[in-house]
Amino acid sequence: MSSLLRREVPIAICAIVALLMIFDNFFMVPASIHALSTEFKYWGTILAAFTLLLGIITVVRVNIYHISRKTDDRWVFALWSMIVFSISSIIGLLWTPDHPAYLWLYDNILMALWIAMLATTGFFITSAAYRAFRAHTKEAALLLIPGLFVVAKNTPALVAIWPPFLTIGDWIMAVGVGGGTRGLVIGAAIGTIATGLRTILGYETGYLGKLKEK
Amino acid sequence: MSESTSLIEKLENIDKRVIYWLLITFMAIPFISPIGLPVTIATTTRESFNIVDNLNEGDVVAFNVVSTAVWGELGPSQVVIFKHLLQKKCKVVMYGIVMDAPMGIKLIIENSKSFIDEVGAEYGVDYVNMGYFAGMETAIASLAVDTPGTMKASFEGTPISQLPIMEGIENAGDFALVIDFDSEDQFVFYARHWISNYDVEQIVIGTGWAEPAIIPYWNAGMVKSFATGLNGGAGWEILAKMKGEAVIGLDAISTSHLFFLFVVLFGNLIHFIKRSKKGGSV
Repeated sequence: MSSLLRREVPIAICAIVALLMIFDNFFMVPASIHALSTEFKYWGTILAAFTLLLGIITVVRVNIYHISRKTDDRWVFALWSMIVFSISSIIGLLWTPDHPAYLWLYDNILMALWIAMLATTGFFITSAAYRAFRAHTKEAALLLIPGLFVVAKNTPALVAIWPPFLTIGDWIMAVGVGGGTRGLVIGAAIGTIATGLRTILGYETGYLGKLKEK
Repeated sequence: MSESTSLIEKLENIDKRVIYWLLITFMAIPFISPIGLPVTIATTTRESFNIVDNLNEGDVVAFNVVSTAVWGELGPSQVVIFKHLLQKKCKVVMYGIVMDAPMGIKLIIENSKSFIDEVGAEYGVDYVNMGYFAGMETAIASLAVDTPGTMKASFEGTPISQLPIMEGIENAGDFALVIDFDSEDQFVFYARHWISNYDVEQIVIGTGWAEPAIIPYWNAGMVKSFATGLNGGAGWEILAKMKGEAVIGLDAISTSHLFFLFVVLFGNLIHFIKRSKKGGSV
């Protein structure tokens, strides 16, 4: 394939679409340009839906690979994963996700597992906090004290006993945390603009894959 | 090694399972025997409540649900705010950009069933499940510029031309408010595409860990107000006089947080004692 098709054409498509989106968002553009930009946004959602399909195919491929090769410690889980995948897919496709069987699977298995998995982090955090959240140095103490105030602000019983916990906690969140996060957000935005410009100008070509001739 | 040093070292290296069991016990006590610890309502929760409470009858609200993975923390908030909106006779368009959004919406509706009957709200007229939209930020941008073009049918497949609730909705500007239930940073998508272009008001009901990310946008006015965690839900339940799961769970929040504080302070105490015995400085 020529370099024109592999490099210049994709870069040109990317630059045109990006400029179209920028102009539609920041300037008053003719209705036809706005319609075209809206159409591209639909394409975006459709493409995103296809990536789900790609995800399913990848999951099936990876699991079949492990089952067929009886990979140590993995093939049993891969098999179980495929059984569960098949059952929920068949029920969902045959009777739609409104069917009581599908809802039962969702409410009593998937959701329960999700919630349980998230809930376990609370235990890990508490155990880790006991060992790591210590004032070893002055800097660590400076992190520890505001941290404790923020936990206290989120403890309704403590706030009821001593209301300034809420005021102090809110101040730490709004000023300290807010300021830090704002810096992070602005930094990320500047980085995004720079990467966007590089992509539009064709300097950023990572999304085109390997460009070297085999 | 002296006996006291040995005890301190034992305490310092306490088995993590002991901490796990103690935490479970502290969290379980309020569920077995409710304590009724005092509840405080954050200013931002009160502000968010007032924004919803000041909506007019017939106002259409975009209700972006969160993944059911955080149902424990945000489920009660979603239920009470949905009920509050129905009580205010607002129209609630429910959807999500997470894959399990349709199921989350079903759960909210299921948990509000008796209230829906009580206020006589009708599916498709007063509230609707529009399902899941793939594409994250692209989906939000698409919904903003052409809502009917993106929301072509309800989750059950009813075309929007047959859904009275969607009458007159052309773009984000036709929504009176967007309520974003969030465990990450979807509110940023709304800030970029709904708020800056259509001047819609946004409130965020987030998980506890989302709060630091929300604050800069709240400072900038792109998020009108927010409520976080189970605390936010409990505050809302109290303000709306609809006590539910959040208020029940709040005792456990207090006891588990108190235990967490105790654990951290105790860990530091042990650390200081050990340091002082060794004659080191902190």
